[in-house]
Amino acid sequence: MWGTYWEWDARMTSVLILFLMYLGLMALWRAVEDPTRAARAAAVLTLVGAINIPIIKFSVDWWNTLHQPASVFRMGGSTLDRAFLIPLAVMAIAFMLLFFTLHLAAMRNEILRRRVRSLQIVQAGQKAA
Amino acid sequence: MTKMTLGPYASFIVTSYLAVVLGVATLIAWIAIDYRNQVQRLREFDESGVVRRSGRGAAEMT
Repeated sequence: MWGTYWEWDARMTSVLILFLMYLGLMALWRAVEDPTRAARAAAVLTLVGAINIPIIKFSVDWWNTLHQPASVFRMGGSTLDRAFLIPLAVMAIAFMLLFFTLHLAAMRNEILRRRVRSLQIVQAGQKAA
Repeated sequence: MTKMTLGPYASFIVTSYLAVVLGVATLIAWIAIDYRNQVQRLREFDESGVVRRSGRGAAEMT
């Protein structure tokens, strides 16, 4: 992991699969025109993709590849020095808050998009009448 | 205070930080532009007299 840009290491490969699943999810959501059908397909893919989460977590213990075994969340406490652990925790919390905020903003956009869609239907009905 | 040096991995560290900044900035810009586009479309509905079933204006945020 360290000193290389890429390695077919268990952790990096499982995270790559997660990334590809996210891209697939975005593509699937946009490929199906009917939002209800798109939501159903995306939900199924999300549930299937969730299997990858424990695989990512335990990949470093199951396969002995370049990444070190679990060193933060493990029985017996973290093996990381405080000089690394504290900045890591601070940035993890910061990024979680950032993405939570962006997620809320994206949800607001989605609500507005659905309102636009509803009004387009209303407008089409008025024109037809 | 000693001066921090990045050592032989400087290019990797700087490239990684730049990639993260670019990625996060793109995401923020994408969401902000999308919000402006949706609000603009709702204002256009307001101007053309199309209202929601509740009777409230299209661009009203409640």
